[in-house]
Amino acid sequence: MNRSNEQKLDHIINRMANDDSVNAPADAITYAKNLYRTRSTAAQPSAFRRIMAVLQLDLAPNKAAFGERSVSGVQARQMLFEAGDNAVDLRINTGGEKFHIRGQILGTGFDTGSEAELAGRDMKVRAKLDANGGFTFAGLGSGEYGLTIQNTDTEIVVEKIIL
Amino acid sequence: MNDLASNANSVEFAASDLAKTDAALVKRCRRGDQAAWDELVGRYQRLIYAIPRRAGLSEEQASDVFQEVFLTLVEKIDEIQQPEKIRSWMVTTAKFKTWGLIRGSKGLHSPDTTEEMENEMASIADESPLADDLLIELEEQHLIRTALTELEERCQKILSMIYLTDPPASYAEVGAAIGVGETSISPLRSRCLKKLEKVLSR
Repeated sequence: MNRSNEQKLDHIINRMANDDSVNAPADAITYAKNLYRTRSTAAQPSAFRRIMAVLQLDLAPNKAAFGERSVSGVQARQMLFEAGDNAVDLRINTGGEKFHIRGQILGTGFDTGSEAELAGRDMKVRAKLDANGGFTFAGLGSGEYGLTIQNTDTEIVVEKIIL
Repeated sequence: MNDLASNANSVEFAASDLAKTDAALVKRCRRGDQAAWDELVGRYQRLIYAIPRRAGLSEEQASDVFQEVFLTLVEKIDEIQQPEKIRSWMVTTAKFKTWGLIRGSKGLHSPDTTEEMENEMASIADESPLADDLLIELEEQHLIRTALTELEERCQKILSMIYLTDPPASYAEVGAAIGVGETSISPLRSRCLKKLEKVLSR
C-alpha cells in the first residue's frame, strides 16, 4: 500500500499509541539468556581440549569421608573432582550469608596465567591462577555455579557446584 | 530450517536496516558471542511474550511459550538460512507453540507436521486468536520499538513519553524532562517522528 508521508506518520503514531505489550517476566528472560551459556560451552571446538570434571568427593564440614573412622574436623566443605590428568580441589566456606570458594587445580599444565571463571545465574567472575594453581572467589550468594579453568589448550569444566 | 509462513510481506515497514542488524546479531551468536545473544533476547523478548498473551494464554503459559521459542532458537541458530529473516522465524515459532498449547487445552491431537498445523490455522483464520492482522500489529510495534533505539536519546525520550506511556505525558512534562521549553516540543516531536519513519523505511 502506498501511503503519503503524513499517513505513514499517522500509522506509526497509531501503532505506538496502541502498544500495550509488556516485558516478559524477568525470570523468563534470565532463563532465555542462560540457555546460550550451555550452547557456547558445547560449541567451541577448535584446538581446545574440553574435559568435564567428575565429582569424586563431596565432604561436608565435620563429616567423615568414606573409609575414615573419625570426622576430619575441617570447617570447610571439600569437593574433589577428577578431570583427566588433573584434579580440582574446592574448599567452600561460609561467612554470614555469603560463600567463599578456595580452589586449586592439581597436576601439571595449569599455573600462573591460567584463568578460572565462575558463572552463576546472573553473574560471571574470573580469577587468575597463582603459581600453585590456586584461585579464590569470595562473596558468593547461594545458587548453582559452573566453574571453568582454562589454559592455552585445555579447558576443565566443573558443572553444578551448588552453594 | 524452513522459512515458515511469515508476515514479512504484510508488515508496512521495509526495515531492511533493522533486519541487517538482526542478521549481524545471529551471526555473532553463531560465533559464540554471549553479549549478542543477550541483545537478541532483549530485542525480541517483548514481541515473543506478547504473542501468546494476546492469544489469551495466561502469564504462566506465555512464559512457557517464551522459553520454548528461545530454546528452539538456541538449538537451531546454526541452521537458519536467512538470518535477516529471524523476526519471521521467531514470530512463526511463537505462533505455532502458542497454537499447540491452545490445541492441547482443548484436548485435540497435535498435528504431525508444521504444514498440517499451518493449514489447520489457515482454515479457521477468522476465528483464530492469532489472526494475521494481530501478528502484523505486534510485529510493527516491535519494529517501532527497535527503531526507536536507533534514534538519539532525546528523540527516544520525547516519543516514548508522548506515545508509549499511559497516560501520555504533556508537552510541559516532556519539556521539563529534556530541558527545553514547552513550545519547542511540538516541532521536536515532528522531527523525531520523521527520523523514526526514516529508520523504519530504509
